[in-house]
Amino acid sequence: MANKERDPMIDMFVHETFQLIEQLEKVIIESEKSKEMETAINEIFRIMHTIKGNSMMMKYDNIAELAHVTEDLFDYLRTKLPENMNYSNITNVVLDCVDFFKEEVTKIQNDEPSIEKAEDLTQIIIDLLESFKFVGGAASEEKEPLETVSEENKEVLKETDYNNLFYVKVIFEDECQMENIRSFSIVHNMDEFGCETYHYPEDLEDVNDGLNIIKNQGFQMVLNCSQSKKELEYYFERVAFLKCLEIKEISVQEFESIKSDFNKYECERDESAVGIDVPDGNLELPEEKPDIEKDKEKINNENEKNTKNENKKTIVEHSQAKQQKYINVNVEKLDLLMNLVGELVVSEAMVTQNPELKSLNIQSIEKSAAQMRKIINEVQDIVMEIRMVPLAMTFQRMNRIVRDMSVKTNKEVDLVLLGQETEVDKNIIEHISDPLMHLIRNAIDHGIETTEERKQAGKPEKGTVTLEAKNSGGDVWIIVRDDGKGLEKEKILQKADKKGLLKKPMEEYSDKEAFSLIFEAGLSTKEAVTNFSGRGVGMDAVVKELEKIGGIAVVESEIGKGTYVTLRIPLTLAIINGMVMNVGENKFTLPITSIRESFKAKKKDIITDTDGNEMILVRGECYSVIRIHERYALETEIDNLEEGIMVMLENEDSKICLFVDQLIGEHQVVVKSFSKYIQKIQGISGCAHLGDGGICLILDPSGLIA
Amino acid sequence: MKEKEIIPINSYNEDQEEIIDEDTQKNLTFTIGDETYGIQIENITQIIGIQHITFIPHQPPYVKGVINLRGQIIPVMEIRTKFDKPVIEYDDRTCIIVVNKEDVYVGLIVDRVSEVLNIKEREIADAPSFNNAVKVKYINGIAHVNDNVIILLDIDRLLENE
Repeated sequence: MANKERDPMIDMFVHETFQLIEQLEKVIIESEKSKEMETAINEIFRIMHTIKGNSMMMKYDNIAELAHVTEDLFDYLRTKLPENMNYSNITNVVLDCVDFFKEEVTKIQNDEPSIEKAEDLTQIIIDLLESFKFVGGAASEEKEPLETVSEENKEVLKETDYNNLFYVKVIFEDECQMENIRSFSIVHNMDEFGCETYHYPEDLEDVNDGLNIIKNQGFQMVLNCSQSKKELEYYFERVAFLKCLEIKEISVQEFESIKSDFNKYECERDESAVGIDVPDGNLELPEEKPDIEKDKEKINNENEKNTKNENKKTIVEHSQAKQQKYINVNVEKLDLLMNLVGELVVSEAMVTQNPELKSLNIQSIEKSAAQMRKIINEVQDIVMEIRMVPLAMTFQRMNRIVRDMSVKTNKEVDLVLLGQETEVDKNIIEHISDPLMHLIRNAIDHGIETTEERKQAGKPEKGTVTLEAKNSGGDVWIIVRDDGKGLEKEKILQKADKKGLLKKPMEEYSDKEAFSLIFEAGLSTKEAVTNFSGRGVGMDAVVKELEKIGGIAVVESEIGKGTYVTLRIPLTLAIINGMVMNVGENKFTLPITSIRESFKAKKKDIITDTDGNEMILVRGECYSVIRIHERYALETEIDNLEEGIMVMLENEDSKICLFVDQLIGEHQVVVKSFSKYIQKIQGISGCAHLGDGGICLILDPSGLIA
Repeated sequence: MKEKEIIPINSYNEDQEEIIDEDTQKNLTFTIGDETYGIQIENITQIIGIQHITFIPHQPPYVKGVINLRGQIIPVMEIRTKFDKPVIEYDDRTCIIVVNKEDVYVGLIVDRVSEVLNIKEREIADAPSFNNAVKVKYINGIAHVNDNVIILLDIDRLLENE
């Protein structure tokens, strides 16, 4: 592989392989669930084949080797499906492979040397295959993998001049990427078969011209080999991402003429600038196959367009317009874009609200400023949207956890996923995968009872863990629910007491408070430590991870019925819709979603209790008043409750009134967290830029109420 | 924002470039009252003029608040208050030196910034065991350069919250 192209290649490889692995995991788990292997076998075979091809290309032999034996295994299975097959055996093997691939690809991603070979695993798979073959008897020898056939023929081939001659044209699926490498892999395999191969474009490492030609016109080659057409078809059918395949038997004359055509094109291309004048992809050939006709026509059209417009772009757009387009973007770039847009919003306000400019009162400027603001707002919305990712991927990953756990704990558990389409910010998604994993493990290990216990309790034998996501105001709620035995308040309290985690007498703990003790470090009610949970780490890790993204966890439980853990996570960390208000010279922002109402207080409604705490009566209900200027020791001229304004805010079930000088207005603010240097302030969660370049503090309703 | 007052550090080095050897350290010097202090240049991100500081409640008295430095929100600390010196009003020579310690950025409010000095190892004496003017624990050493006394500050300890 060309060294200069190394980095993007590896990125591409890592990305694609991860996708394949994820797909593989999904397929195998689904097939195990449905107890139906047949469709999965083909899928797994195909994935393994692609992984093998890709990693061979990149010279990751350890991965390729394992993929190769697994591919052999599934190749056998799909031709000869043994009747009394042990599915779980195969599932385990495949999952082991998945783990190995994951590990290795992660190493590649991190630039770590990967010398480890999966010898044990390879042997297991080979043994497994042998055992199937043994059970399957003599019939299994019918079809050997193609590679072995070719090995034998290799020697013979070199001596003969012309064997079977073929013209092959391959068109890859749009967007499959790395077309040149895929082509290279085909050529490489052809060489292994002992074929004499000529192909166009010649230079497959050329990422510009060569790649475009393959993309637009397909990859063409002529082969001189000993294989029959059938054998070639068999091979090509297994090449990943093929959109259209054309194999033709040709005569010696045709072979030579096409070969020289290839050379000619190559020369022409070198002469002409950046391959605008690329040759027509169709060669004059006898006997067209009707089934390929359609595809050929399409390509013809495209080629015509190509030559007419002399513009490569149009053809790319043309062929891609029909399907959804996705690109993979580095998250850091998105973060940068996000920051820049945030600054753009601020500087826009700085320009348009410039007092000197305003005093001139020029209408045309105001008009254009309004237009600009509109566009900037749209840009901001779109940037936010780009960052939103559905939870589906994260949820799907839990299937594997449930599967592993239920095998190892010997409990039958179903995972039900609800609301997978709910979207949250990319930054947040990264932080919820681990907490969810811990919660699910915990639910299965501690929550769900053994099959006997469930039978006795009159519950269905199979336990259910439900993972649900939904939007609720500015938050996303993710609920992990099990139908297990529930939490025992007494047990938790006793344990916490032993560990010295109780902060007040045991009797004073409400259910909610007692349950939330399970998130304390060092508390584990399970007597025996298992492999997965029970060491008292994990649950506190859940809370720590959640805190990073401003989320909280709430536990509810009912003895004998199950446990609910609700994770409340902000939709996005980046922007909130806030009400800006001021106290003296200081500005504060409250999330709009937590504000119930704002009003002017009347003297007759204000009550002061014996401790000097102020309260206010609103429609017969009494709310305590927090004076922000007192709470944060700020200077302000307004200290009469009747002069300022009351803002009633609600968090969970409690409501309080904040007393501030005045409301400034509703703004979308870009949230910034405080530097570590700033000490934590109760009731303030962060700060945000204001339009005038100033900074306001973001009030945190739950912190204020607590 | 007062962009024009951002002084790139590099402009200081031009005429002193040639005399760098291993036991020389570059220090940015600034004054508070009559005393001169030095901070190693590696710790410094930039120097800006004084600008509007947003007050943050419930902080130690020397943390004056935060500033908005081109989109970044940076806490600022007043060296005078930190060293228990009388507070003076900010003027147009007052500067904020933005320092960086393990990706934590903090601005230091100082009376005025002087120059970048190459200080040789042999010019540095150990910190005295007592000193009435500055809390000794923030001092790395005392340098004597051309009859001037420069108090070298330990950024790590200076940025530790008490």
